[in-house]
Amino acid sequence: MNPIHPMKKRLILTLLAALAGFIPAAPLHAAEELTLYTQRHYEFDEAVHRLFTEKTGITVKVVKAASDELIVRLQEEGANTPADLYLTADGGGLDRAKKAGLLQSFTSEAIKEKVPATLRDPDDQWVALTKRARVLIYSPERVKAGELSTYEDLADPKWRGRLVARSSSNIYNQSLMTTVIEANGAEASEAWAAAVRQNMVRPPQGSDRDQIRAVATGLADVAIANTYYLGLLETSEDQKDRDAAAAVKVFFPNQEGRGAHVNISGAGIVKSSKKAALATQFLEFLLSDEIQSRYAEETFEYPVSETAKWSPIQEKWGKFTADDVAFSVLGDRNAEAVRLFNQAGWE
Amino acid sequence: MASHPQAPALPIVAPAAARRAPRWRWHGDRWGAGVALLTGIIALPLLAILFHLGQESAEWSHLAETVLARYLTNTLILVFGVSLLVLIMGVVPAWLVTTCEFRGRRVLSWALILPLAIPTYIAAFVFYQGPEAAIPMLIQVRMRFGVEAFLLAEQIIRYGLLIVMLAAVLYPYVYLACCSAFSRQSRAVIEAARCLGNSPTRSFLRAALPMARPGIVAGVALVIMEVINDYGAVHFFGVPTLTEGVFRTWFGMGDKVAALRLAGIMMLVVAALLMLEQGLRGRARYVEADAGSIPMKRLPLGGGKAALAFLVCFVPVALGFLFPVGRLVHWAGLHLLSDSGGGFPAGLALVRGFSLALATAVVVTALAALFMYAVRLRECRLRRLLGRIAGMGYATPGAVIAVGVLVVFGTLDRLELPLLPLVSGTLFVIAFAYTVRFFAIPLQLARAGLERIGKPLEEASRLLGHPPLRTFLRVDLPLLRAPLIAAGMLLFVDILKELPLTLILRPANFETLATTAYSLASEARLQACAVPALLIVAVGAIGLLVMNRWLQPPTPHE
Amino acid sequence: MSDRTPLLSFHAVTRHYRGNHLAAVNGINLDVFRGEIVALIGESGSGKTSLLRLAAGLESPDGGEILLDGRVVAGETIAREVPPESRQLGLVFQDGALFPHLTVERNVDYGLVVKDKKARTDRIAACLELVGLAGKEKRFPHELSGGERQRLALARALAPEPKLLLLDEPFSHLDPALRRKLREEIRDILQRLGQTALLVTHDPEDALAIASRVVIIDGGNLMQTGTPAEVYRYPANQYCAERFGPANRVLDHATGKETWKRPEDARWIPCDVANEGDPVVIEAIREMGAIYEVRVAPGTQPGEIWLCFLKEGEILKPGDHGRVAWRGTPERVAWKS
Repeated sequence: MNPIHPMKKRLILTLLAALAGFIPAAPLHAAEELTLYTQRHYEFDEAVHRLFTEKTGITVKVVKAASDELIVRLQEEGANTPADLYLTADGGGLDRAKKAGLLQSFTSEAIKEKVPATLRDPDDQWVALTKRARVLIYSPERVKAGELSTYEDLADPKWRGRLVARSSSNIYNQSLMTTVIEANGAEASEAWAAAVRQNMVRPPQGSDRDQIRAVATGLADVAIANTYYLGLLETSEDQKDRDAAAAVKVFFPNQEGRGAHVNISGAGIVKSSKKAALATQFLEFLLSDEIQSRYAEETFEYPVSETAKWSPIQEKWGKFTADDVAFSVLGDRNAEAVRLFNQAGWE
Repeated sequence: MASHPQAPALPIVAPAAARRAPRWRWHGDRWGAGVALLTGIIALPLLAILFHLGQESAEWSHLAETVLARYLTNTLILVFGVSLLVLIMGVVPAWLVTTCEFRGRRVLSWALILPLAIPTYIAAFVFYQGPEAAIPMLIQVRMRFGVEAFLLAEQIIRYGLLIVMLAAVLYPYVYLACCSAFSRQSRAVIEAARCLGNSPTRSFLRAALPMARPGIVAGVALVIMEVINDYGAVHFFGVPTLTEGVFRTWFGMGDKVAALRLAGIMMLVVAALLMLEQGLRGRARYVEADAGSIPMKRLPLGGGKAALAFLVCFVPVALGFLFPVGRLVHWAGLHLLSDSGGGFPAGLALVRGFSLALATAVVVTALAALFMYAVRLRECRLRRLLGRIAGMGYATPGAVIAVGVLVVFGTLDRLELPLLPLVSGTLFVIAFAYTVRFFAIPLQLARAGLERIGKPLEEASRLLGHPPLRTFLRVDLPLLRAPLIAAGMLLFVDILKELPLTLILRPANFETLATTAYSLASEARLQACAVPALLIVAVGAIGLLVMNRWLQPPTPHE
Repeated sequence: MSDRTPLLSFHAVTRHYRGNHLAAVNGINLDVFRGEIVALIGESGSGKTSLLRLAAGLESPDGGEILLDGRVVAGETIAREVPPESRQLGLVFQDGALFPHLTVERNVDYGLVVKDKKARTDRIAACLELVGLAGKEKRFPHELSGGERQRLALARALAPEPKLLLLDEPFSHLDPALRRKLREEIRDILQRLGQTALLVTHDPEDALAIASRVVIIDGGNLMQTGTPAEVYRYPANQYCAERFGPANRVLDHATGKETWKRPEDARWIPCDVANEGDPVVIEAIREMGAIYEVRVAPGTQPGEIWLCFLKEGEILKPGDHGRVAWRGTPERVAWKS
C-alpha cells in the first residue's frame, strides 16, 4: 500500500512547525540574564536595557503588565517565579509587594548614598527610580492668576463645569486620593471627591494626555495630570500634540502646605531571586547620574538622584515643594481610596 | 414508500421493563475517560475561581451599594443599544446580498465580514477621535444652552459613538449567521410567499425573517458576549461596565472574592445567553434540514434601487472597516515617515508571539476535533454535558481565566511535582490559558463538521476493521479539513487579538501584536501604535477571508 | 438447518431509546445460519434497523445477548462487548456511506488486512470485477452513478471476506428499474459466493427476490418467519400480509379463523351453481393492462371489500353477483412464532 499518505505528511509537517512555537527563542547556553516584572511600558526603558546589556553583557528580559496584576502573578508563581526585579510606576504597588512578602532587602551602600531616605523603603526593600508630580494643567487664557491654589480648592463651586480628570480606576488618581485621605480624613475626602466630580465638565474618560488636550481645545479649564505627559506632548511627532502643549501651563498645587503630590516609579528585588547581586548592579546602573539625567530628558520624569540634571522642559516648569507623605500610605490606603471614589460617584 | 396501502400501526403495549426511566449511562471506556480527563483539566481554572465565590467578601456590600447599579446599567445600555444596531447592520445587508443582484454585490458580500478583523480596543482608539472632534461643538452647546444641555449632549455623543463603534465591528457575527440562514432557505418558500401576492419586502418580513430567527439570535448572542467581555473600549470611553468592575475591585481594592462575584454575574448572563443560543440552534438545524438547498435566484435591481442597496451595504463596511483602517494607515504613514519612525519595537518577541498563536491554534484545533469525536463516539447526556463545560471558558473574561490559571499552576508548584518546573512559567502556561478561553470555537466547528460527515462513514470504517482512533485519522480528519482550517484560522486570529489574558500571563520577552499595540497606546503613541494595529487587522482580515472560503458549502461533486 | 450452530443469534434481545417508552427491539429471538440470506422486513420504526445495528455492534442491547459464531459478542453476560471492528462483518449502508475522499479502489482497499501488496491489488481487482466496476478504479465515489455506488459499497463490504454481510436498505435510493436490476445482480453475487447475509428492507420485492428466509418485524416484535413463499401465501396476520401488497381477509366460517388471500389467487365462479367459494357482489372494475382489478363485496363478511385480479373482467360489470374462490391449500403451512 501507500507508504505515507500525502495528507498525513502535510499534517505531520504542520504539527512539527507548530511545536516549534513552544521552543524558547533564547539560546540554550544563555549568558547571565535578569528578568523584570515591570509596569513601566516606555520605549525609553528598552533603550536603557540595551545600554545595560552593552555595558555588562547581562541580558534583560521583560514582562510588562499592571502593577497589581504582576503582584498576583508573583504570589501565584511563588518560589518558582522567573522574576528577579519588580518595577512599578507607582509607590503604592511597591509597598503592597513588600507587605505581601515578595521583596528582599538590598544592601548596596551606593544606592543608599544616592537616594534620600524618603525615597527608599525603611527596610530597603525597594528604591525609587524616578519621581512624577501629579499637578494641575490649566489654560492661562481662562484661568486667572491666583485662582488655582490647592487640590482641596478644586471642590469649590467656582470650578463647576471647568475640570477634567481621568477614571478613578487609574492608579495615579488612586494614589492622589490616598494622600488627600491622609491629609484630611476619609469623610472630608469623600466629600472632596464628590464635589470635584460634580465640577467636572464631563464624566471621567481617556488618558492623562486626553485631559490635557481637553484643556487645550477649550472644553475645560483645568486638568489633573502628571507633568511628564505634558513633556511628551511637547516633544510629540504630531503637530497637534505640540500645539496642545503650547496652549496650557503647569501649576504645582499646595505649595503653601504639604506640597504637590509626587508619586514614584521604583523597583525592588524579588525575594526568591538568586541573582540579587546582578539585580543590585542593575539598580545602581539605573540610579547612575547618566541614566537619571536621561530619564529627565526622555520620559520627563524627575530624577531621584540629587546630582542628576533636570531637562530644560522641567526647568521651565520650575522648582516645587513635594508632598513628603510616606509611600507606605499609598499602599495602605489604596483600597480605601477606591471605596471612597465608588461612594463619591467618581467613576 | 412502496405503493401498497399503509398498514395501521398496531398499538403495542410495552412490558413494564421497557418503560423504566431512561438512565444516565456511563460508557466506561478509554474514550470516555479521555473526555472526562480533558474536560477536568480545562475546567480546573474555572473551578479554582468558582471555589472562591463562597468565601467572605469584605467589599461586596459596599460594591452593591455604590457602583454595582451603574455597572449593570451601563452594561445593559450597551448590550441593548449594540444589539439593536447590529440587527439593522447585519440583517438588511445580508438579505440584500443573498437575494438581490446589484453592482458591487460580490465584493460587498465578503467585505461585509472584514470589520471582524478589528479588535474593539483598536477601534476605540480610532473612534475616540470622535468625542475629541466634537469638543468645539460641545463648547458652543455649553455657551448657548448651559451646562445641563452640554452634559446631556456629551453623554449622547460618547455613549452613541461607543455603541456605533461596537456595532460597527461586531455586526458581522449577525451578518454571517443571516447569510447562511437566508441562503439555505428554500427558494420555494420565498417564491410561494411572493406568489401569494406578497411584495419582496413583505415576503422578507413575513417569511424569510422568521425562518432565519434562530440564526439571527445566535449571532446577536455572540455580539452580546463580546460586548460584555470588552475591556479596552469601554474603559477608554469612560463607560464602566461589569468587566471594568472586576478589574477595579480585584486590583484596586484587592478583593478577589468580590471581583469574582462580579465575574460570576457576567458568566451567568453569558451562560444564559449561550444556552439560549444552543437551544435555538438545535431547532435551527431542524429548519435547515427541512429546507431545500436550491440557491435563490437573485432579484436584479436597477437604477436608484441598486444605488440604495449598494449604499446600505457599504455603510457598515465603511464604518467598521474602511474608516478605522484609513485612520490607521494615515497614522502609520505619519509614523514611518517621521524621524523616530521605522524602528519596530519588539521584533523577536513578536515572532515568538506569532508562532505561539499558530502552534496553539493548530494543536488546540486538533485536540478539539479529537475531543468532539470522542464525545460523539457514544453520545450520551454526560458526554454532551462535559462538552459544554469544556467550552465554558468562552463565557469567562480573559483576565479571570488568567488568574484562574495562575492559581492552578501556583497550587501545583507548591505541591512540588517533579516534572512541573518544565512547564510552569513557560509558554505552555499561556497556551493552556488560551485553550481554556477559546476551546469552544474549534469545538463548535468540529461538531458542525462531524455532524455533516455523519455517523455512517464512521460506522462503515469501524465495520471494515478500523478501531475508533484509526477511523478518526483515516476518515474524519481528512474530511474535517475545511472546518478545521476555518477553526484554526479563527482561533489564530482570536489569540493574536487577545489582550487581558496575554498581558497577565505572558512570559518574559514575549509580545503579541495585541500587547505591542496596547503598550504603545498606553504611552498614547497613537501613530506608532497604528503599525502593529494595522498588522493585527491585516492578519485578521486574511484569516477571515481564508475562513470564509473554507466554510463555503462545497458545491456538490466539485 | 437445525442442529448446526447459528452464525448469528439474538437471545431475547431488547433495546430502548431515550424519550420513547416503546422498545425498539423487544425481546427478540432470531438465528441466522450459514449460507442463509435472511431479509428483515417491517415498516419504518419497526425495529428492523435497530436489530441490524445491534448485530453490527453499532448499538448495545439493554437486555438479552447476541452471539456471533457461538460466541457472545454483546449482552449482560460479558463485561465489555466486542466492538464493531472486531466482529468481521460487512455492512452495506442505505446510501453507500462511501468514503468521499478515497478513490474506488482505495475504498475497497480500506478494509483489507493483508500486508502483501500483490495480494491486496489482486483482491481489489477481483472484488471490482465481481460487481462490474473494473476499469473505474481511479474514480471518486461522486463520479459514479447511483447503482455503481451501491455496487462499490457491496464490493467494499465483501472485500475483507466477512462472515456475515449486513445490508441496510441498500436499494432504497435507487429508481425502480435500477433497483430491480441491482437486486438480481446482488442476489447472484451472494449466491455465487455462498455469502451469509442479513438484509433489512421495507420493500417486499427486495425480500422476496433475494432472501432465502423472510423475517417480519413490527413494534420491536418478531411477527413471522418463513420462506418467501410461505410468508407471502400464508401471512400470520394483517400486518404480515400487508407487507407484501394487498391481501384480503377471509374468514373460515367453520372455525372462525382468519386467513389472508392474495388478489391474484382469486377465481371467479360465474354462476350460483357451485357450492365453492363465497358469494360476492361486484362493486367496481378497473382495467389494469393484462388483468382487471375487481372489487367485490363478500356476502359473508359485510362491510369488507376484497380486491381480486381477474381475467374475466371483460365480461363483468358492477352489480353482478357471483362467487369467489381462492387457489392454494387452505391449511396453514409452517410458520413460526
